Amino acid sequence: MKHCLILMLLLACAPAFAHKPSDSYLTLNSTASSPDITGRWDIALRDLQLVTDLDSNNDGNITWGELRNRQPELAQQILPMLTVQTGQGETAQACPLTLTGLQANDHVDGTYAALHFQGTCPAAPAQLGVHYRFLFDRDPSHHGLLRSNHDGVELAVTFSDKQRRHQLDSSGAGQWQAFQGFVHQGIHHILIGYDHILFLLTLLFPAVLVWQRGGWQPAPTMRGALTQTLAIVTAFTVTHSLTLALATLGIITLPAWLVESAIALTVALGAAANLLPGLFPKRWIMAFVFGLVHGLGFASVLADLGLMGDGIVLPLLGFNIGVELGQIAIVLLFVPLAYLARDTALYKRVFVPVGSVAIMILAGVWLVERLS
Amino acid sequence: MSWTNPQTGRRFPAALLLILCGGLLVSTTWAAPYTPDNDNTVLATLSDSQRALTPASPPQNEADALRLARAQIDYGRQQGDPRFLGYAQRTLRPFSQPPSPAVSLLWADIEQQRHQFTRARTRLTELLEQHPNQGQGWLMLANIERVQGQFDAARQACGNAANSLPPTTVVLCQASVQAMTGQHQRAYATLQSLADSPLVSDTTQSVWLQTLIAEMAIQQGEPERAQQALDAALALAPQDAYLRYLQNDLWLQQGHSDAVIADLKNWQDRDNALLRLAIAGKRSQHPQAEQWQHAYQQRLDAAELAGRTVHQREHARYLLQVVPSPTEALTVARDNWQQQKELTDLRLLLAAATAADNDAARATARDFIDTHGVHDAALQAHWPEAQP
Repeated sequence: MKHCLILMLLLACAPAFAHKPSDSYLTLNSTASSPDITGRWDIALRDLQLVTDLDSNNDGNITWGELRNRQPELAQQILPMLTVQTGQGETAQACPLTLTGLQANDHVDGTYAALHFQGTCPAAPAQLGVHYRFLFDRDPSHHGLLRSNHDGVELAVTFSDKQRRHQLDSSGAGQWQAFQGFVHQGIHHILIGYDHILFLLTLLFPAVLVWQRGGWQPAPTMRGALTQTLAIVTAFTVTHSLTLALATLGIITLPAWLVESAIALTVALGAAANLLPGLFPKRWIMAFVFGLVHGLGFASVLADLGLMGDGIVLPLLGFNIGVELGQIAIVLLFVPLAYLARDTALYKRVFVPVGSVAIMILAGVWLVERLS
Repeated sequence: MSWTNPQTGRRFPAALLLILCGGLLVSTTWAAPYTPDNDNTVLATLSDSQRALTPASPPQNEADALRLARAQIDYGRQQGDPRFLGYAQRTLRPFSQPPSPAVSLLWADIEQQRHQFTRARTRLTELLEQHPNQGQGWLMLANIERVQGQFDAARQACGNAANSLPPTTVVLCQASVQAMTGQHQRAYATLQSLADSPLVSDTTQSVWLQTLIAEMAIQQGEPERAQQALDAALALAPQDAYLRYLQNDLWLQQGHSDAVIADLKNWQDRDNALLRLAIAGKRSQHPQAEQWQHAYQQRLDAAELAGRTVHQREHARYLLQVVPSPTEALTVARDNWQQQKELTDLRLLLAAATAADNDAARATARDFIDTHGVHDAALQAHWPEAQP
């Protein structure tokens, strides 16, 4: 015993641990529009070995063949250590999981077994509860690290001996978080979407001007400029929101190349209208009509995220609000500057016509590229 | 600007997906699974000791449980493998309601190894109130107090151990405290004469003695003497992880990066070896330097993901000597300083403060040095005037 105690003191100050502690890695994918869930569970072979003897031939090595032979045990004994359910409390209903595949995976501290699984809930889950019981009776310091993706919203939780259950996305906070995520995406989308910004700006160039006697004159009052701006932005918003909703709900479907080409065309036409203002007296009508096309473009984003169908209302609303917020930011940035500069020759004779020509050319290039 | 990119239509969703997944890509390094080519591919190798130490059914009586838990804790420490602490926890669990003094001591050992110092201290204090003759408990308590910079409490605990432990053990205990409190010269001399005497014959005690001498020689700025002591200790305990890291740190200090790489290349599965490889690799511009750095970074990320922060000392050192990012290093070094106040931690704090040019942190280190009269050759480099 004396040996032990001295060794203990000597080494108590030893640096922190070398090998990694025991963790398993779990991913879980679900959507509010389907009762199916899929996932993957990576378990260190060392940990698995504690629960089921993988080394069948007892040679000290775990081979791929030995692991594969244990697939039935993994399905019947290991996977049930993980239970997923939809709903909470008395209304909770299990989503039975089945093992769909087995692979290997190298993590920083060695090789893991990768268990692919899927499950079917009684109904499309709005919220999932997860109960994790693996290995705690052999290693109480084991952790299970779960990363879930529900309709594109990521959550990360950690299971431990003392915290074996987690409710995912169940609270209002979870939904609010999801909603905010879509608002951010909407903002981001309009801000990185050059063609949408350009279309909006093209229409707004002359909002601080009036076309009189064959030339641009500064809008006499702030009120007039604001009215024009508001009319354009509102018209654009109403129609693009409409087609965004219709396309996302699957009521309208058009091929992407067509929508993208049409968007380029609207930009070109918007710029042309600045050069030939006599032909397009009411700019808000243009915004109203072309907004229909841009809405279809926004919708392709949500579609690409796999967000279609029933559970779409919340993401759709959030995304749309985000788009509008981004749009308002652009308007608030541009219009006051344009209003201040409206009386200058530079703005009227150079910025509006030259800018419009440049935009027309650019949009023409897009159009050709998108059609080809 | 890629305005004319024909991919424009696909760029938006791609960017959005990137945002969605970006956080994950940055924060985790979960690899992609694969299907091995053939059934004979070896995925993992189990050691005999590992099998022996993880029996399918746990011991049913306390004596067996104590033996197994002790072996698990010691093996985990020797291998630097924290899983064995979890196994020991499991082994002890059925005998912990309430625990006997022997079980309590093992629990405290697990806790202090996990750097749960407060919990370990509370447990030990309660135990020692009722069983003041648990010398081992006093030693452990002394160690925790010393690591946390509570030197008076540490001295007192060493003294209390004298009632139940042999005098040489108490001398070693006190010397480790004196090294930090201005009596470094005296302690160093005492240990050297102890090494020359026949008083210490027991192997484990000799290893401890030589390790302390090596550390104090480094502190004294005598690398040759340190190497002598290290050689003596390693001859007795060649597999000892703590000693090997000490040896490698001495090499690093002397610029022998090649020696470090040669010695630790086969220990890459251990975080602490990997850190030293990354440092040595970077200094010697070794072709694998980046690979080691990347691997260590991955381990840090994995620990962070699991919410574990045991590695603060090493993390700070990595940020300071490998990345290098002095400001971040200082942040971590300061957090670490809240937990651990050994010489290594002090050196790190000061080096990070100097690198980040932070006077407040330098003052913190300086205060500690002045308050306790710490003497150290490495610290002296920062303040030539502070040392005699």
